[in-house]
Amino acid sequence: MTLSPRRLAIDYGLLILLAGLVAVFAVAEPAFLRVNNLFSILQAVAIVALLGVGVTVTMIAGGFDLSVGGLAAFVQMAAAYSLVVLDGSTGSAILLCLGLGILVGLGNAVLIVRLGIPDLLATLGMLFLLAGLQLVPTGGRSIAPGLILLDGSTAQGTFTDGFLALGRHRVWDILPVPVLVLAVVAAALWLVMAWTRFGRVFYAIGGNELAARLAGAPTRLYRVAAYVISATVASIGGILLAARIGRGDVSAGNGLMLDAVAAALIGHAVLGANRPNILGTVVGAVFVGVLLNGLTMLNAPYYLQDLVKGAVLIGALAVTYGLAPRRA
Amino acid sequence: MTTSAVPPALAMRGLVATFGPTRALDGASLTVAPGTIHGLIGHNGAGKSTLIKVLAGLVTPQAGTIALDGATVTGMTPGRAEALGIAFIHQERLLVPTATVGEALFLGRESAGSRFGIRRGSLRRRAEAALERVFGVTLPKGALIRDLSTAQQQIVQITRALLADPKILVFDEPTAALAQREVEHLFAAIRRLKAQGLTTLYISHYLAEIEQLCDTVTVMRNGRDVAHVDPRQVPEGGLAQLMIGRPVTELYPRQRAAAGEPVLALAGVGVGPGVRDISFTLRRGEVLGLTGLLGSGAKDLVRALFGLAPITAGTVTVDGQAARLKNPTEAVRRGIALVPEDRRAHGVALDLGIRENLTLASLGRLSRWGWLDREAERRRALDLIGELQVKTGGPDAPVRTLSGGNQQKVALGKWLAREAHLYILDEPTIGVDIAAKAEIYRLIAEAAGRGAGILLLSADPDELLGLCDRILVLFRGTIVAEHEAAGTDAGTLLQAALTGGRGAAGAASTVPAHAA
Repeated sequence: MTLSPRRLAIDYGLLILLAGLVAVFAVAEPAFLRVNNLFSILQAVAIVALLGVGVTVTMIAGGFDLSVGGLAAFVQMAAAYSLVVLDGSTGSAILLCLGLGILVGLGNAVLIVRLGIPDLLATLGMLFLLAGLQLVPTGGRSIAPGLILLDGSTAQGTFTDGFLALGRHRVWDILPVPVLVLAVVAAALWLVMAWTRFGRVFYAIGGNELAARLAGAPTRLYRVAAYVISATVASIGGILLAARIGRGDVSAGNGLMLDAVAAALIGHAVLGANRPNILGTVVGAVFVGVLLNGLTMLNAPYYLQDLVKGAVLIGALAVTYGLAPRRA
Repeated sequence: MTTSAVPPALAMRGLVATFGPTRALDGASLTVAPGTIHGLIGHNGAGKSTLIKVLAGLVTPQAGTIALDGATVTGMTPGRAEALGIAFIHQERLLVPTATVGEALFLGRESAGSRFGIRRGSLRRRAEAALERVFGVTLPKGALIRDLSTAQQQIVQITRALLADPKILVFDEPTAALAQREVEHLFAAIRRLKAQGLTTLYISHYLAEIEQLCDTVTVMRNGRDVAHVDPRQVPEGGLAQLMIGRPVTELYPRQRAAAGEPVLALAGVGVGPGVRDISFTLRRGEVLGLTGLLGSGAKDLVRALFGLAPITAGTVTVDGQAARLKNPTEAVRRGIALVPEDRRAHGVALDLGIRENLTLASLGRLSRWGWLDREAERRRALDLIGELQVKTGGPDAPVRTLSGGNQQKVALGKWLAREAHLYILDEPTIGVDIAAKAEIYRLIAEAAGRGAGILLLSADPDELLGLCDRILVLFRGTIVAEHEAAGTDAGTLLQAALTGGRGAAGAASTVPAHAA
């Protein structure tokens, strides 16, 4: 098949643009291309990318999960509470966080699959619920070692070194742990979604649930799985977030949800997929990260960030919906 | 053509239009004489719709010319088409649901006959006059479009088109949603318009309508016009033969396998309050027909066997083992292939590729440890596309890009990939043109020939008689008649379905005994 400019734009537009951006930034600011800086970019986008990958799984199954941002923030607070207030170990904090994530995923699944609430509404409700719930144990305050509790006593625990390493350690002094986690999670989900029969069924459910059901797929089970996967991945994101900032910050989750959803939507436009895909989401998150990092290096004011994200999102959507081939 | 006194009202010549790798029009021509009713037929994907879209300015052809009354038109757009006096009545309803009948009729022409915007009184009178003139009907003018029946909405749409005083009126499958009486009204209106000198282009795949209505017929096949005939001069079945390109007698393949082991047995099955005491046995290699009017329970029974509705009484035996078909997953695990009636809604995922749809029900045998063998999958899909004769640019094209009949072949093909031993087919050929029908019948007969049992729910007596070995008739939730296809006729079947079997004496009591 010959590559028309239009086809080229659909398939490789975003990647070409990404390469172009890297080239421009590298010329304008040679420090941009340093390995350290590149990993900093990945470090910066790792959590958003993880949440986006989770959202992508639900989108593949024809749903949506808005609650991932709220869940990551909630889990971040839960990790801090477990470590600081309960004086728990690294392992117990991680288990608690993953357990909460699975629970929230099952909760979303009950609302959407069992009660039949539209996915956007159910997960929007869950988003608010979690954003509120995270404030309850501490009366709305952030959690740091030495926190004065509601009963007047002082918290005895602290962030363990092991836990902090999850957010701050660099493997071989170069590869940040969150980037490694993202790589492993994204690769695993990509393999499942692109190369196994299970992934095919997820896509089929997203395409036409009843057709998939009549083809013999237990579609409700798959949809429940999609929300549990999404929530579990989001709680991993929450753990990494807590480890990176080293305290339980009530405002840490701001903007995470929108960034994650944006990454997933930008991902539709990668390699002409025109549908949610794991790899595309990661590329989408990295794209935004590169742009923001480069602009910061060039001393662009911080308040332009949302403007830039919006422009990228709209551009990607224009490619997905405007250029993609449709029969007249 | 230069010698003829009157130039054709419409002359389209040598049109070529491609969508990606699909060649929708491949040198198609159409000539319509003024003041005639001209039929355009062809099976799904033959290029009729694309030809009309070219005329409407919605598709730009890569080659070819359009001339109206002998004058060549270039750069056709929807606006140009309207200005040149071509009006289109599509099968989809293109009306604003919250407008009143009067508003809908004059949408975009509010100021006609008035200097200061809308003049309600005259609007209403003109609307009434137009409806009266064309259809001899009165519609409640104040009523909202969304409160009208589909047929009434269509009448509004046609009337609206006529208000623009068109020279050529194009009907694209106008009767799909109309009842018989309304169809007759429509035909009377079209004939009246012809008497007034209007030229009509009429597209349909109801051949009986074409024979009844049209002066001349152009037949399309594979993106070209292949025949130009006077339908009154063509022998019975001639139009169908021209459409599919071979005699219709081959429509029903007669290949009979000897009936083998029972594959599905029902004993005293009930579904909810509506269906009671259904018993029958279906054997391998057998095609068993199931028919009944709307509300007879035939549909509910089939839904229950799909696992979409609970079976509330009796036992179902699949391959000699009792089966509780509580959901489709269970039914599929039992080796049942389900082809639902509404394939667009239930049978295919439109945005996924043909390959992905075709292999959806057989992923288990195309993968190991869950890992898909993409190469095997691709080969399987290509085989099926060839076997089903799906007209497509490639196996990865989204199903949305296929014509309706080809989408339906994909829905059916999903199960051929799996080689099930029990097929439950719910109206497998509804809305399918005659060529695709022949393909589907061939596939059904082949599956039976392989030793699969086939339960065919259909309301089409010809289809039942042509394809089935035995036919069960349901009436008010019970089996009232059972006939060997060879020993009955359409009248008998219809009689049983309509009246509950009077005329097939004692059928109601003998059938359960036979089935046991």
